[in-house]
Amino acid sequence: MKCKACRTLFPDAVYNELPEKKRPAFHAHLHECESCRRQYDELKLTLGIMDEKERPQLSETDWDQFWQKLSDKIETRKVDAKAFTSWLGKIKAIFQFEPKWAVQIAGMAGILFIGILIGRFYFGAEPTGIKTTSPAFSMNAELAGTTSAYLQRSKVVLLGLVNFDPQKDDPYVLNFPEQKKISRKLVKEAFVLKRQLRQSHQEQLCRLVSDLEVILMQIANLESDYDLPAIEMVKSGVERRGIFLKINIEEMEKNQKQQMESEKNIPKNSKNKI
Amino acid sequence: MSSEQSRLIARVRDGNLIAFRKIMELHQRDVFNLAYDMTGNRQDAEDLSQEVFIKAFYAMQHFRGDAKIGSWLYRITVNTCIDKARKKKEEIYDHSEEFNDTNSVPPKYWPVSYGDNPEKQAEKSMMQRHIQNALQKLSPGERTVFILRHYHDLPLGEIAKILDISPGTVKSQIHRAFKKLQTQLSFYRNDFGREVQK
Repeated sequence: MKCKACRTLFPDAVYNELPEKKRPAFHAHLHECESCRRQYDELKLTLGIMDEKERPQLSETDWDQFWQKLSDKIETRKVDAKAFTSWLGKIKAIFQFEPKWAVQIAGMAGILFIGILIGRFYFGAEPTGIKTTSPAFSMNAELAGTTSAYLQRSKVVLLGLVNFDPQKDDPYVLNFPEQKKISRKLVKEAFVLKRQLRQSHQEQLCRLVSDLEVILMQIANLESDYDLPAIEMVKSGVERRGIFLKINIEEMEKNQKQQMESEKNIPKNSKNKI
Repeated sequence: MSSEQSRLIARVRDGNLIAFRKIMELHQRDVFNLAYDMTGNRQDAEDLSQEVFIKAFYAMQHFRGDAKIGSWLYRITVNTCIDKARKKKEEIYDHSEEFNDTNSVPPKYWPVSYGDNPEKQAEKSMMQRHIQNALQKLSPGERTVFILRHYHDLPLGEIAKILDISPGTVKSQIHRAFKKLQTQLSFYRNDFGREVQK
C-alpha cells in the first residue's frame, strides 16, 4: 500500500470503520512508514482533544419548560390556522352568488369600469409641461396686467444699471437722475401692488416685488450720480437675488398660459364656423 | 420503523400532541446537541430545537417512513441551522470573537464543575474556547459533516443521505476538516501529546 492510499483510509480507520479486507495492508503500511504513522497518531490526538468538548445538560425541568413552550406554539398555530380557514370559508360564502352567469357579467363589468378609470387617468389628462395653476393667471386680468407692467419697468431700470461698465461707459449715458426718479415711483407702487398680490394669494410674485423694492430703494437712495461702490452693491444684490431669472420665469409662464388659452380657443371657433 | 413508532406517527398526523411529545422525548437530546454543536450557543440551540420540532410536527404528514425518524430530524435540524445562519447573513454562528476573548469566564450552564482549582478551571475553560474556535474555522459543510460523524457517531453513508450529497463529498469534507483541525490545534496537541506519552 502506498502512502496516499493509506492516508485516504484515515477517516475510516480512526472510527474503526475500516473494511475487513483493507485492514492488514493498512496496518502493515503504518508499521513500515514512520511518516504515515506519525500523521495517524497526530490525527487521533487531535480527535482526542475534540472529544473534550462539553455541552450544556438540560434538566428535566428545562425539558418540561421546553415542551410547554413548544406545545403553546403549536396550539397557537392550530388556532390561527382554524381562524384563517373559517375566515376564508366566510369570504367564499359571501361571494358564492347564484346564478353564475350573473356573477361573471358583474365581474366583467367591474373589470371594464376599472379599465376605463385607468385609461382616463393615464390618457385623459391635460397636456403636460404647462402648469395649470400658474400664479400670474389665477388672479384677475387687471392685476396680472399691472404686475406684468411693473416687472417690465423694473427690469428696464435694472438692466441699464447692471449693464453699465464704469471703465468703458460714460456715466451720463446711464442718466442717473432719471433712473432714481423711476425707482422712487416704483417703490411707491410696490407697496400697493404687494398688498393686492397678497390678497390674491400670489405669494411668489409678492416676494419678487419685495426683492425688487429693496433693490429699487437702493437705487433711489444713491447719493451721487457716480457712486461706483453703491452701484456695485446694487449689481451684486440683483445677481444674488436672481432677480432677472425670476422675472424671466414669470414672463415664460405668462406666455405659455396665453399660448395654451389661444390653442383652446381655436377648435371652439372652428366648430362654431362649421 | 417499529410498529409502536408507526402508531405514534399516525396519531401525530391526527394532531395528537401527547404522541408527538413521546416522539420528541426520544430525540430531543440529539436534536438539541446537534443544534448546540452547530451554533455553540445554548439559547440559539434551544430556539432552533423549538423550530425543528414545530416543523417536524407539521411535516409529519409527509414523513414516509423510508428513513429513520432520527435521521429525518437530523436533516431538519441541519437545514434549519443553515437557513438561520443564511438569514443572519453571517458565517454560521460565528462566535469567534466570543471564543477569542481569553478573559471571558466559561458559561454558567457548562455541566462540569471545575472544582476549586482555579488553574485547572482556567485550563479547561481555555480548551473549550480553543475547540469551539477550531470548529468555527471550518466551512459550514466541513463542520456539519465533522459534527455528525464525530459527535453524533453517524456513519459516512448516513451523513451523505442526511445531507443529500455523495459519499465521496462527505469523505473529502471530513478529510479537509481533519486537516484544518490538526492545524488549528497543533500547539495544543503537542502539549496533549507529551502528557499522553508520560
